[in-house]
Amino acid sequence: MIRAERLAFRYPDGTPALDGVTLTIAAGEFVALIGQNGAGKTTLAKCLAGLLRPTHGRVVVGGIDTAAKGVMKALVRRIGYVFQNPDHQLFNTRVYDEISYGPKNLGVPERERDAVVREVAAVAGVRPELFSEHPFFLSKGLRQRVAIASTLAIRPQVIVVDEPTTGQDYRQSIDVMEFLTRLWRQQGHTIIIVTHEMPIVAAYAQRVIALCRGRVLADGPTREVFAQPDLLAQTFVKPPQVTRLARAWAGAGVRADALTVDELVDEVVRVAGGERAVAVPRAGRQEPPAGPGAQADA
Amino acid sequence: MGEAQIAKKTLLGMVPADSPFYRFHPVGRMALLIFLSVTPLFIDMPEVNLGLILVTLGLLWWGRVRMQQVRRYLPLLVTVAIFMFGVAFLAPGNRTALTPIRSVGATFYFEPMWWAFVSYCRLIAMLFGAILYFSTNRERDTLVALRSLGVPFAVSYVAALSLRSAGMFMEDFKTIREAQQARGLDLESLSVVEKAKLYTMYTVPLFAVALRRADEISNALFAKGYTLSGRPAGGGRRTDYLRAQYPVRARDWAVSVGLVGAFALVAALSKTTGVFSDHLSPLRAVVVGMVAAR
Repeated sequence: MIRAERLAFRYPDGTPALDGVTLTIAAGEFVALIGQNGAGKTTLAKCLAGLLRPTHGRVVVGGIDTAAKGVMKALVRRIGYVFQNPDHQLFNTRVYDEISYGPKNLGVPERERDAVVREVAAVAGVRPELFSEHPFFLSKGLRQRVAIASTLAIRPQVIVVDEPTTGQDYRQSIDVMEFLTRLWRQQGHTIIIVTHEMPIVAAYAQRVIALCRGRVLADGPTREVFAQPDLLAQTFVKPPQVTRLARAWAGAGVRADALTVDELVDEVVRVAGGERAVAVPRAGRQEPPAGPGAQADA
Repeated sequence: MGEAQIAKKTLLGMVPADSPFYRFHPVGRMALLIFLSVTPLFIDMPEVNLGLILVTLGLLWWGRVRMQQVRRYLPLLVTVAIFMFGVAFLAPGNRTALTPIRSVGATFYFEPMWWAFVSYCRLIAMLFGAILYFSTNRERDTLVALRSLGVPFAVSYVAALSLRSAGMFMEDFKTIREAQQARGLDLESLSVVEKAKLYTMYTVPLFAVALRRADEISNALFAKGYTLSGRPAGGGRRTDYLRAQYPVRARDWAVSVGLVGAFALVAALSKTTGVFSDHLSPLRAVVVGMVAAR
């Protein structure tokens, strides 16, 4: 689906941001890009979405070279980008116009457009009563949803979300991540998130790409990448506390790569030979994958 | 990777960190701005202003500003020319007192067209002076220059914050364009009118983001105890670390005084002797001769 070959990017001020990144992301994956500030996460995500042209190397998305001329319309149908700050991507004075902006640019007929707007708004949790509201008067969480709905309206196969949980409380963060997970599991989208939130990565991402100074430091299933704390330390990333705790208890027979509290509790209960006292509703990783991401997580 | 940044981000683009301009103190660079941008106000002779434009272009090249960056202003130069010469053509003034020139099926009048040319040369010279300054200086350089000159804290801080906001405004503009592109907007396929409409669309996010940021900055300043007088809220005197960190050397004072002195000399000569009057322009004499020959 996405192929980056020896990708390098240098900002106009000469700052090198990416240096020889080569990777492939298959359709139906849920990928997290992690790394310290300035590691090149957002630059890589923007290069993958065709918003930045590589200085060297190339990116091919669904057979389209992102640097080729006149491919933008075809490219946005394949890959959509949700910016970190929703305020940068809300240009219209009504929520409805905002969501229909992309399809309009792509020449989707008005009647069809209306159906698309209503459908994606429902998926994103944007109520029709808000359609005539000005997007800037909505809460940040809702603005983020409108931004995601606006991207979804183009129906891209891949959705890149830059910092989906920044500035949101725990509940809103979980809502956004559950929403992205539904898109991944139920609608078969490929999801790429850029984030600093390791518990979120542990709970939701299937694959982790850790960047350090513009290069790929680690790339693999989340469990495997988080099992290498010394490697991750190079990019100032620490696995979630629960994983570190599990690692510390590994000597007691607990599996060392638990990613969530639920997994660790199950392990402790197993080792202790008892039963869980309370059944906890589980989110994210614990739900059995039913969508296209299922095979890759196995 | 991880190597030092090799360019500095200025208000109008990038300049190499080792640009020769950075050998001079920000005060000297500000004096150059005054010389190049204000002197043309006292010069009517187009040859001199055209000479100043050439000098400025030379300084841009010497300062290692990418000429591609300068080329972006060509549409602006053309637009200003259309506007100024258009006004001179459409509203020349009292026609009976003017010299008509019939050409390409229309009647032009020499005096307003010549004055449009004189004013255009002056305006472009001033504009290039400002382009040079803002292409080679960061908002911080302006703050250092103002503080070094003893400009009151509130004035220098507001000026620097305004410049920083302008830079952020342009960054936001870039991101918003990227976001539009990400939503399938093909700029190349749009007509001029559609592109113009697009600018009204930019105002929605640009102003919303700018207003939110202004609110945040004012709260941050308040939280840090800043006051208009520059004195700490609890009394006493604030350490002026900018002056301590960027001392003005004798060479910088010499350059600054030289440039401001040159400006003062031009202004004085212009007012007292009229030596820079357009009536003394050799180019005007040639054009007048050509008009008379028709």
